[in-house]
Amino acid sequence: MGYVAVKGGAAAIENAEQFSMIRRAGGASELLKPDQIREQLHFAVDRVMSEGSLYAPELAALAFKQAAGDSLEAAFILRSYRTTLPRLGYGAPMNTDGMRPIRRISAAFKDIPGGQLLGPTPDYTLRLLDFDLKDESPDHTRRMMARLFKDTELVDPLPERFPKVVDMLRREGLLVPRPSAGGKDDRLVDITRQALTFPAPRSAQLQTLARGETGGMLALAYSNMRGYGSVHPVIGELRVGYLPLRYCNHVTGEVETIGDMLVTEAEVISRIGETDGPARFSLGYGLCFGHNETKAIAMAVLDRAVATGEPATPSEDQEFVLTHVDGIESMGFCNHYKLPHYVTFQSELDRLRNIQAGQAKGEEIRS
Amino acid sequence: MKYTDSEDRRTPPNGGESIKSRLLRVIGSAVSGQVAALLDGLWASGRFVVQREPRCGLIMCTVRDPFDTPFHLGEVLVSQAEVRCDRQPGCGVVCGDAPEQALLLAAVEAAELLGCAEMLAPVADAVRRLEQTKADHAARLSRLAAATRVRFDSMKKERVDFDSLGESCE
Repeated sequence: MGYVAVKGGAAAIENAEQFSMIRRAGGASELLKPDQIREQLHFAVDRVMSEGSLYAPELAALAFKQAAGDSLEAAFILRSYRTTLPRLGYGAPMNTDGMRPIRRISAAFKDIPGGQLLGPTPDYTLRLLDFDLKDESPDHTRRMMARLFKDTELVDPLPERFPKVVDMLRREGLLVPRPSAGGKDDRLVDITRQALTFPAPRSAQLQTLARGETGGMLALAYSNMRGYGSVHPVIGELRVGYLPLRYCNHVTGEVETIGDMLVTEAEVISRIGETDGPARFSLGYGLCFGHNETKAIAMAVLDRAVATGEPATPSEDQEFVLTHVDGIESMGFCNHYKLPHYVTFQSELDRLRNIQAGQAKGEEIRS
Repeated sequence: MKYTDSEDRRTPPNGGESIKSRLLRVIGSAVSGQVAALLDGLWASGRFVVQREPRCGLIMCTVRDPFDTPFHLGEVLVSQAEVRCDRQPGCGVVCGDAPEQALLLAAVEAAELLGCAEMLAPVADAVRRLEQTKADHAARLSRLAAATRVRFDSMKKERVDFDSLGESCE
């Protein structure tokens, strides 16, 4: 069976694209501007940046508009775009204790230094549909903001930094010194330049999870939490805040802070780790671009799960987890089945007909 | 590139933090047209030549996990430009698709390394205004976040010695 070339269809493809555009923009409503998306649909934009693995809010908003709200497609567009740009270099490695938090909670300790900051979150209010949003007016929003800023005028601003809760556990010797994923391989690899090999070094594992797809990671982490695994996570600390990006200026040789990025960080404390020494807690770590708490927690759970010495479930198997969490890969593979498979299917059809013909012949001989 | 823990600020011969470092911190707060006006002012001197037109590129953001293992979080879109003031090169790199900002940063760096304080006076004034604007905005947001702080009252105290963290946030 040879390859069959197919011709034609260019006009149909062009028309299909136009039809798609008309579905997105051909209605009676005002056309969305990317800055409206960036500001008002920020969770969607953050998700696109995180899964596209490119911090660029304006471009992520544009991709979200182009994809008509399909976050997987938007992340795909963004990740494709990054391949057209040169890599100028690497940022200076930084610890996240330099984060300027806007939200910071702990489910492990109630009295943490600096207190718990709820920050911008709908977590503690009821999920009731807000019909007032149908006729939301800019004037009303401005008045509400002015009142809120006035009400908080006498509140002391936050300190620039907060100590990490897990540092306390570490100093008391209650935390395992290091996860065992990847056979304690500390090489710094870049999965955009090097293919994943297993067992993967910890750096490759964290980079893969950091750009994983939220839903896929959540499903795997959820399976582990529900009993198909052994991680019972307690959130030691969850932070949302701004991390500075530091980069070396090649003219002066100085390291400069060239901007900052909104990130979400989760540190989950799990049951006592099986270590050679004294019994200790183990830690799972999650960090991703933007405000995406579900993903950061799921990442932390999976990070801890794959550190299990003898994987007994899919979510504990490093190779299984890392090869299935990338949304662009999985979506691409899923959707490739829409492409013509005429030749392979024709071959299957021929085989099936031959088998049926053989079976019919056998029936005739027996009767 | 090997990084050390050097401070990301330069101390010019006259002391204090460089205008370039201060500009980097606040340039994101500049309104449309402000950066272009400052650039026009510098360009009018006739001493600047663009060595590398502004271009977008990527910087891989590298972070450390709580166990001090470095890993790549993802790439960040940046703009980069290179300029010469007389024979002195200057480089500007800033987050986002911001060609004019990158050019201005490069020009300020070159002029500053050359010691042209007079030429940079309008930029220094603009930086001071932007610093005030940004500080006000940051303080408002900080107070807003602080207003969401919660404290729990409980009869039973946790057996945790947070003093071991060595710092207080009160």
